[in-house]
Amino acid sequence: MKKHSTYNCPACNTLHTITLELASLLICKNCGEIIQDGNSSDKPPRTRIPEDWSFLRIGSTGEFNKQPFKIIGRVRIQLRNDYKNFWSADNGRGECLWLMESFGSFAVFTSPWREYDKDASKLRAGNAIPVSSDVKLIGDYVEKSEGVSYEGELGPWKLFRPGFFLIQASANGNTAVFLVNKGNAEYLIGTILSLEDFKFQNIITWNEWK
Amino acid sequence: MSGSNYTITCKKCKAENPSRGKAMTIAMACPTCGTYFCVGQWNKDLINFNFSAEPALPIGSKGKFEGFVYEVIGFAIKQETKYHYRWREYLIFNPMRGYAFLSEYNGHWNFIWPVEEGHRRHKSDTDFFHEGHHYRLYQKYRAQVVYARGEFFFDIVGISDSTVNEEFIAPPFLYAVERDNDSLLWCKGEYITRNEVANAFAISVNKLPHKSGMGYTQPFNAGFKDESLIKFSIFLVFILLALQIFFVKSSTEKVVYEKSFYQTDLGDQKFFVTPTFTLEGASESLEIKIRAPLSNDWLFAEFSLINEDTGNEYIFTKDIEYYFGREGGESWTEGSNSGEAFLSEIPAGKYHINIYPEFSVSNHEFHLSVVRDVASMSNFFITIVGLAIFPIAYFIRKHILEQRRWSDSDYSPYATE
Repeated sequence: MKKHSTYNCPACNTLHTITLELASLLICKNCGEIIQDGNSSDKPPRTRIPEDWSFLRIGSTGEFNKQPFKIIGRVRIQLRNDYKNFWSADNGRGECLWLMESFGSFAVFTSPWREYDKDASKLRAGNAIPVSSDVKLIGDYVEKSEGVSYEGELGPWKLFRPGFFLIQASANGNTAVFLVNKGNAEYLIGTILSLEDFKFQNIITWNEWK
Repeated sequence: MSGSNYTITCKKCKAENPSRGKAMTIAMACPTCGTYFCVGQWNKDLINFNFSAEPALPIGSKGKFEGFVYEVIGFAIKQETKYHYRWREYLIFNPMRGYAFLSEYNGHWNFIWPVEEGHRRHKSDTDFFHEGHHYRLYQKYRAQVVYARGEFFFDIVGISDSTVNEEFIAPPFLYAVERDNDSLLWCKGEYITRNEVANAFAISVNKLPHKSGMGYTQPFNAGFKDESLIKFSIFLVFILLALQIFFVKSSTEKVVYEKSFYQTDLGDQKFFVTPTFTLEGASESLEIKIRAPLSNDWLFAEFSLINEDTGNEYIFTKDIEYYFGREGGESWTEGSNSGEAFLSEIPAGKYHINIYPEFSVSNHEFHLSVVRDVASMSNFFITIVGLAIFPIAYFIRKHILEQRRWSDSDYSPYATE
């Protein structure tokens, strides 16, 4: 799905225009139908983002490395003891950056998905996890996914069905998130940041917490 | 925006319970039947607790910490599996900051929140340094949940059963690590007072459990740091030392009278009378030095310094002793052949001294000198000792309280004392 290309929702015929240079998935803003190029065999099932207390939403804006971005989509992974929101953001040049958020903790990923060519069974909590010659991380946790839901326009993403494992590993401000499905591991590597670093705008202000 | 109709169905009684945590809630104690269950498909355990308690901070109450409003989402009572002591944990939540815990034991509270990264160390390490603080292992334990109420963003019962916990303290801070095969969660905590908790939730402090004993992260003194006290004390000593050097340098140490006295000169008299000497200047110190050729002997004398202008009398005594010998092949000495008396603030004027000596059998003489404007060393040392009293008392008390703090720990650094 390329930038500026247009798609009509096959369910409700709503017109959508792609904003990223390369998008992997589009969820109809009107009816929630999943829209993909062609007749892809890995089309995920239609799911709705469950109601939660996220203060970000499609249309929220922020800054990363002093460059503005706009949130255009989300993948929500329900884990057994946690959840992860991966917010798909357009940096204004059609490039996607992923913001990972869970309970007020944030990381940003600008790298593409990479294949983890080492032994995926060693991706364990407490283990040293080398991701490159100069970056060695420590496993934080391993969690099995229970559900995945989508909204908006998504950059390149791994369309695994629920049941895959999510592993996060961190050290010295760096973090990586691995998705392991049937022994195959792919990962994003990025940086841990704080909420204040992003200078978010157009967020949901929950009245009860004012 | 606010509000929600999000509900979670109890897996036991099928009651439709409104969920405050919405999709973030992973586990819940059913408000209708009290059964604890997990929301997802993977854990079908239904747990009924044989224990009940009322939380001091009710589910749904709100408190403000560092400018952010948190809501009490869940409440759990945990029991340590070895020594069976219990404490209470409140799960609190803010959409912007995520979740945190208020932990209470014996009326002592800690505010605890997850942190992104732990502290890399060998598993055998029992301490580490971080941000200028020395964290030491206080406890390592397993725990089980004996009661839960409200909602949780994780399976608090299952996680408590499966994890080993370690807590490192550097009061008022703590780091806690919760470890099992699948996760390694680090949290940071800080001691907060009952009043701070009461103020945060806008409730009376009397509604909170009464405090007893010393909290394991309770700071000894929040007013200042040990390093500050040491640095300040050293600073004062240097100031005093500088002042003393100034006084020594600026004192004239003028000998105003000097003479040797012999017992034979006494005749029938019981005391010597010195000639009149003049003390000049303002009220200044006066040092009377006495020296005698003592050999395993002593000399005692009473002195009366008399101001001839006013009749004021300053009476003092001086006893000097000097002994020596050999014992077990080692030579020893005790005392001195000389001594001095220091009088501060003696006004100017004409003076003489009456000396009432007591001679021993073998010594029959002594030498006297009167020196005007001498810097006092004794005042300096008395001030130093006075200054040392507070830091010494502080560190003794701190040591005692630290022993008390660590008395419940299996890793006490005071265990051998």
